[in-house]
Amino acid sequence: MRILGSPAAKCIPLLLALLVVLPSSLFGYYHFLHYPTASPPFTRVIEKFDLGSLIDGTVYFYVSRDGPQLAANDSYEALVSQVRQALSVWDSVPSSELGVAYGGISEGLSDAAAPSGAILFAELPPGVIGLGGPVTRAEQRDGFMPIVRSQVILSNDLTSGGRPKLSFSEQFFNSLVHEIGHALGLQHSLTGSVMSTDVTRATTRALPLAADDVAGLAVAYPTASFLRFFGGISGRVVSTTGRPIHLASVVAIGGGGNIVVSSLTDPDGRYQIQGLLPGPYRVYAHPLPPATQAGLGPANVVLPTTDSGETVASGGVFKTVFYGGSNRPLDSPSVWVAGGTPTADVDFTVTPLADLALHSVTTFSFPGNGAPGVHPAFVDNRDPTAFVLATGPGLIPHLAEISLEIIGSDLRPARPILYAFDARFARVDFEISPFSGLGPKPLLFRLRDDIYVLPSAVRLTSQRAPVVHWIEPDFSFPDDEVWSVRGQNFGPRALVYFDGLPGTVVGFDEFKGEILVRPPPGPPGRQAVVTVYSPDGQSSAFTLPDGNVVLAYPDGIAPSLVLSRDSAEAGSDVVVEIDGLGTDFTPHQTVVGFGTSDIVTRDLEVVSPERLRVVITIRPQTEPGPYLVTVTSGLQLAEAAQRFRVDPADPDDPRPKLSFGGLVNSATRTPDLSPGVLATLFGSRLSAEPSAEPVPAVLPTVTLDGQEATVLAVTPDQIDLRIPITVEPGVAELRVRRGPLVSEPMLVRIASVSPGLFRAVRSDGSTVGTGNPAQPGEGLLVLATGLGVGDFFDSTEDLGTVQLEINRERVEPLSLREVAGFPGLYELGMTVPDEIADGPLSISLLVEGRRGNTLALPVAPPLDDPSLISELALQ
Amino acid sequence: MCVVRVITYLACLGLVPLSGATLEQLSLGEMIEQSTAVVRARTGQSRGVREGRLIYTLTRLEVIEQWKGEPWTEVEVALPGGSVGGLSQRFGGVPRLEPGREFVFFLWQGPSGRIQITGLSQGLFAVTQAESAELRVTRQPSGDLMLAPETGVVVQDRAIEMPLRDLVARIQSESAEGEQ
Repeated sequence: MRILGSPAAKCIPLLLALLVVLPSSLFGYYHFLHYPTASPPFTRVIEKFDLGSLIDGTVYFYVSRDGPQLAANDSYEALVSQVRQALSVWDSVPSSELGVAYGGISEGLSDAAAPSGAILFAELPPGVIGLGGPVTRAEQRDGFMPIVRSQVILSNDLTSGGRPKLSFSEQFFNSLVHEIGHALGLQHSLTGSVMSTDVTRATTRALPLAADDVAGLAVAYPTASFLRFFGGISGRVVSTTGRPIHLASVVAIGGGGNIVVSSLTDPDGRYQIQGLLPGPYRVYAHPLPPATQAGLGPANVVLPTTDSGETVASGGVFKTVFYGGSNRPLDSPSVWVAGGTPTADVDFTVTPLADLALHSVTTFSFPGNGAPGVHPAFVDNRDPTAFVLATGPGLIPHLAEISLEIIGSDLRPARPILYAFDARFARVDFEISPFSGLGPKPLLFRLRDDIYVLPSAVRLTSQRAPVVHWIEPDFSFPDDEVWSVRGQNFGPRALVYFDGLPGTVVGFDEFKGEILVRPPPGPPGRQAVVTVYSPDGQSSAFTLPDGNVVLAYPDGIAPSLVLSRDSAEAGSDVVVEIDGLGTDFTPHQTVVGFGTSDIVTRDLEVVSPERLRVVITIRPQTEPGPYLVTVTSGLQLAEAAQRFRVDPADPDDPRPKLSFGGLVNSATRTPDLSPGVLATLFGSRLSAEPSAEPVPAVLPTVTLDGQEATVLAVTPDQIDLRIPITVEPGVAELRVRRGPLVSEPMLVRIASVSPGLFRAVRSDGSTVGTGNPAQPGEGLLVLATGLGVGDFFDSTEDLGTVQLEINRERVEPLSLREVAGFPGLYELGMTVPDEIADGPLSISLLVEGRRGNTLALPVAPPLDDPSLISELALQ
Repeated sequence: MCVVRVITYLACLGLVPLSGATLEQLSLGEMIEQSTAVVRARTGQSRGVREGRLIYTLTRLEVIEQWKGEPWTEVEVALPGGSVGGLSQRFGGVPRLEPGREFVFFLWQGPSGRIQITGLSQGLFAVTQAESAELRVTRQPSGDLMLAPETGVVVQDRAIEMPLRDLVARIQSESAEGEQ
């Protein structure tokens, strides 16, 4: 029996099944692509991670220990904090099954067997700051090309070129998110997303991803709900002569300009946009900007290749057109999108051009506080004098002929004029109305009979960018290290960052312009740049780009680590305790890394600021040898003086062997456990030999925090047991003893309750199931476990927090009692509803608001249903 | 003045994700100054190599003319990405050097000895022959913002197309200034 460790991992079989049944033409967005041949049919093969080869469906990124040369007011720890935050941006995509996590620091001595990501620092020529991209092996698997590792390569000298690249700057962060996106398999888009080039990018650190980025990742790693609830648009782009256009960008704009998602066409002109919320969209097709060099794709998209290594050229440029053939959005019919199914046949016929007169426009605005202009452009909708600057190829030469429109807003742009202070910019003023709305707005440039659309050209806000004046300690929190950040334009949902990590906001006073915040742990002497981020996308980095408000962490000793053990075998799961000196381990901010994706931290308990317990999984393929151990907590970074050694597996080790996540709730088969719950432990060598009896003569003992569990049944690979009722909720240490042999300890998490349902039985004692369906209106008993420590011996009243949810309706059970002779097993009485909609009856158990698994029971149709009677009569 | 602010900002900024790469825009003057060699060369065969954890494509160049740096007759230039040992890596914006083509290369040799193209696609100018038999160099606009070499102010990147001799004159002039 296979036990997977996390909810994400549990979805993998389902996900893989979905991917197998999905035709590959369903892929939208644009990834690194391959086609079998340069002729139809063009079946897309994308480069992506194989979720099945990742532990918990997560790709871990490791930062090279050989850091770059940094500016004087920057640090390696600060840079690592930016990397962590940039990775968490991609991890936050809810419609993607792929987890993206920071794995620690790597010495980079060898390649891991497991796929991973690396942030490396290398000698790059002048003018190159960084690169990102996946590494693949030239073999297809299940219709995709697996990424074996991904790399973001940054210059090993971030001070060169006369303009230091500061890790705390908006641009550095956005570039990091962009390059990591490439490393995850995403290519450029032209929608103002983070995967757009900086010319048209409209994301900021406070709003780091756009709908297009989310769709891009979700299309490659879709969750079941993404496929079910999001819709799409498909069609074809051909020229007026009927020639298919390859690499045309088709863009859907909805939600008043807030949702912009795109896809590029295949060589046969076909496209599919995915990741659209149901609703109406305006859809247009536009050409990509020209390539900078021969052999490169337009917009520097990596051109697709065939199995024989040929690149497939793009289809050239054409006039931009909205669906329906017009270049006026209001004349274009809306395309309605429903969840789960693509809206098909949204086709375009386009007029080829020799070259583009206008493209790649960038907009700027001035954030106030005397600060320089920023990109993307923000407009305060209360400011009647608001304007933006724009520049781009073809804009100034054709300025007199250009008119502007905003799509999906009452915001009215004036005709652009030459900016009085610099003839290389156009100035665009706006007429703002109360109905102009908020958020990103697309700007349409009309030039003669062609148009250029810049999605997210202007972001409407209701206030100006935050300004930070100073930071000082707040002594009204005597037991806490809380700081007062003072400034203006702070909102109640503002966040405060210290370098790349958020502090915990504990108070806000709009009148005083104050945010009270608890900073993350930091290294001694570090001066962390303080930045306030607004949910509208602006930040104090706009108004103070030099980062001149800092929090100075007190001087102290450099943190160091001592490990409780310095070795383990490949192919094992073990617990490692880590003692820190000068450390400040903090829950949810601490990461323990072993420098390789072959050794992964599965669980981590912060025992105290100086003590950690972690469970690690060492893959069987792990190369024996020493590995660097690091702990990152907040901005603090510590490494163990000793290396952790991986030894070859010993197949003759007779001890019982446990694995992470191997102890599960017997009803739910998940690691949700509580005192008294019936549980199943999976492992190996748990009993001496296979026994004909459920319980062999020499019983293994199972203990949690030293308390013995009741063993119910034993095989060499499995023990059924009941968790001791006296175990305290929290993290418990699990061991199995078989005679003199004791397993390695394993950590398990114990909650107060962990409800689970086994099955439902009828009054005659038979189990409800296929062939024995429940009858509407009949009484059933459901068998359950995981109710926690309560008095449930025989209760028909005062059932406390125990509830059943029957077809989404919560009801109290009719009765509840412990089954005689089966401690930990309960039966709850319920009645099958008289009227049931189509489909099975779903029942789940909630205890203290916590929901367990769902039973799906077949229900017999009511015999008085006339249609059914006639159907039966026909039979 | 607002424009001063924009300029200051962009001058400080200097980070322009152009492609798969994040590039710092270099003016022609900066490229001449920061390159350790500038050559006109014809591309030869390429091969993938692995250096540490990185994959590079090495392309042999047959040098036709050289205006800066230690003289070479042949040189091997490294570009990030490529294919080696069954592994392959592609970066957007990294030029592909097909054999038999002629370019002016702005090259940079770092402490490792590896020779790379300054600013990736920025440091690569295609050489073509005009009807008048005059050799010309061209580079498409990046579509990104660039800084004027003389003042550091913002300029719109434009396609560069000029007679080769004008570029050579510029290189020689700037190189001479650099030596002084």
